[in-house]
Amino acid sequence: MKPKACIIIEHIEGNIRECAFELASLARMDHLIDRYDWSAAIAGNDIENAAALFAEKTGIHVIALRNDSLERFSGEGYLRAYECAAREVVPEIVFASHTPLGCDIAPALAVKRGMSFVSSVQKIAFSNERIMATRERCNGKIREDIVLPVPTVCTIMPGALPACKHAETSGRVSVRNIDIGKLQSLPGTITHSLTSGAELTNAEVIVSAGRGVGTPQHMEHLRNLASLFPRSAIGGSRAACDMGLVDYGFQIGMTGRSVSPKLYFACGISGSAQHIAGMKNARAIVAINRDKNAPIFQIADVGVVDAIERFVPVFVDLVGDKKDL
Amino acid sequence: MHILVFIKQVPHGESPFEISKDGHTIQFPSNTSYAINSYDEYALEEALILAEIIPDTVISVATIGPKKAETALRRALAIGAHHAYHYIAENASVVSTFEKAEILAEHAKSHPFDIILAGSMSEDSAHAALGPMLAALLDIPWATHIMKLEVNPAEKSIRAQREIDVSTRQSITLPMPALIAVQSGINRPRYPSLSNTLRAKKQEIVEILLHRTSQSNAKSRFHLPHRTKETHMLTGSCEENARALYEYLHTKSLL
Ligand SMILES: Cc1cc2nc3c(=O)[nH]c(=O)nc-3n(C[C@H](O)[C@H](O)[C@H](O)COP(=O)(O)OP(=O)(O)OC[C@H]3O[C@@H](n4cnc5c(N)ncnc54)[C@H](O)[C@@H]3O)c2cc1C
Ligand SMILES: Nc1ncnc2c1ncn2[C@@H]1O[C@H](COP(=O)(O)O)[C@@H](O)[C@H]1O
Repeated sequence: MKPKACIIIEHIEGNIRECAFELASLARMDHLIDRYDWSAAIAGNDIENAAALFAEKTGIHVIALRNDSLERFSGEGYLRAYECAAREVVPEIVFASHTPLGCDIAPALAVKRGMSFVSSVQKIAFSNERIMATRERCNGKIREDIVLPVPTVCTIMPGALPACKHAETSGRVSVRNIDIGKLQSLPGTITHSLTSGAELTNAEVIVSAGRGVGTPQHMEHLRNLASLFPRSAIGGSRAACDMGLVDYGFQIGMTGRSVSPKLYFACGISGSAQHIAGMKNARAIVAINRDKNAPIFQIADVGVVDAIERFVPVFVDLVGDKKDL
Repeated sequence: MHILVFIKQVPHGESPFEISKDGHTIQFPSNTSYAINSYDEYALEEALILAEIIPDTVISVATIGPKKAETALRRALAIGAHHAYHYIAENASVVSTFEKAEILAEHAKSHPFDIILAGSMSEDSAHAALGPMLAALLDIPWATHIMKLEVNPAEKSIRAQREIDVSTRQSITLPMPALIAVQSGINRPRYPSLSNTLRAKKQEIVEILLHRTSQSNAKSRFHLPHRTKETHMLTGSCEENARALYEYLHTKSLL
């Protein structure tokens, strides 16, 4: 019998998130496709449609774990549901998404099932009959290759894998009405707030601030840089938003906005996976960072090794002079 | 009320480092500067905010780390924590997250707590694992990526809001004891005052020597990321770099 691999299908109120379809592409990877008996699990109370959609699109057998108290997400409730699935399937490997919801349960599932845990994986490869995962440390400065231990729970960064191609034949759906006992947590509703930052979607040039900008005063340099370009906007990394340099609506990255401008200036941004997830599709990337080893330089077209407050004003003046000529 | 805050000391983000030839270890030079993991600074600040609202709140911090991690605990005391516990492991960087969770779960079992606060992830190792692992070991409810926290001591309950992405949040109510892992930006961490820093220098830190930590059996190989693009690196003078960038943007018709 083949070992089992199981995918956790992340959804919000029955809407399957893109990252779940990315996980399904693992089931089509050379070596992995034949090595494992694949299944996927989804927990909730009204999830039959979502389960059917996932099975149809990916061709994977979906186990739908139903219970009324799973209407809303809680780590406690969803963990118990996935434990039920794990008892049924006994997977050698579980794949979940490295998102706030995925990270809420995956480490706990590993503990409850006595499995190893490997997180924030960027790349999966297969060699010598073993799965090799590449993850990142120190905001992307260091890569770590790990041979996945057996059995293991593994979280994959959203955007790291391509979305799964539409399957030729649909997978089966098995609905399980599960008993999860009484929950201590009382999950509440999900609120969507309309945030600012819509300008980023249409901007041709984005000047993005990171922690390295340092102070609100230095934002002036970035505004001057942006004003050199007609259709420009200012965005920022999570760290810049946390510091109050940029409004959260303008956060770019995994939990912020995804942008694809013609030109992206990364100013004092280290280049963590979470940030890169939101801007890697920019056509040209200019990174300005005083640390020559900053990982943002790995994906930049032009890398300026200098301090923001030194370089940007000089550059802005130079362009001003050229324009005056 | 008792609040336990788990903090980790991490090297400053711009610190130079070396990867050993066999790729198995990352070495930081002896003059590297260290700080409290920024997510844990937010966790500690959240504890201090609760202590300001709820009378008789005691805050303890604990860390697993080498001897030099004492500076992180001293800073936590200077910021306002009342007690500090140091699980000393010189090889802390190779102790697996699960083993850390076991050690801290034992700590929690032998010390009273109503709330455990942790960060969502360590900036250096980026596992984002320890909080939920600890909750699973202690069999207490938990919630991660928290951007808002309210505690009702009379009802012994916590109302929290998790961030799913910047425009999507979910509220959740948990009974105490519970574990909360905070997301960055939940508050603005304060700085210690000079007088508190001086006082913290003399405060007792309970040290516990760890013997049983093993090296995790999953062998990692570290390396630098590969370039995905032909990057023009500009390392000249400020003016030279500005001219070179101008030329680049000009030839690409971007400026
Ligand atoms: C669940 C979750 C979701 C997340 N989602 C996002 C997201 O959507 N978007 C996002 O961006 N992050 C996100 N993050 C955070 C992410 O992990 C990083 O912490 C963040 O991207 C770091 O921002 P930064 O690069 O600005 O700061 P740092 O990593 O601190 O980097 C600062 C950089 O500035 C450089 N620098 C310092 N001073 C100067 C100077 N004077 N001049 C020039 N350079 C200088 C430094 O060398 C360094 O490279 C998320 C984290 C979690 C846990
Ligand atoms: N060595 C440690 N000592 C104490 N707490 C830790 C340690 N490592 C991690 N933590 C806590 O666990 C959280 C998540 O870390 P991690 O799972 O390593 O990404 C951190 O934000 C800390 O609150």
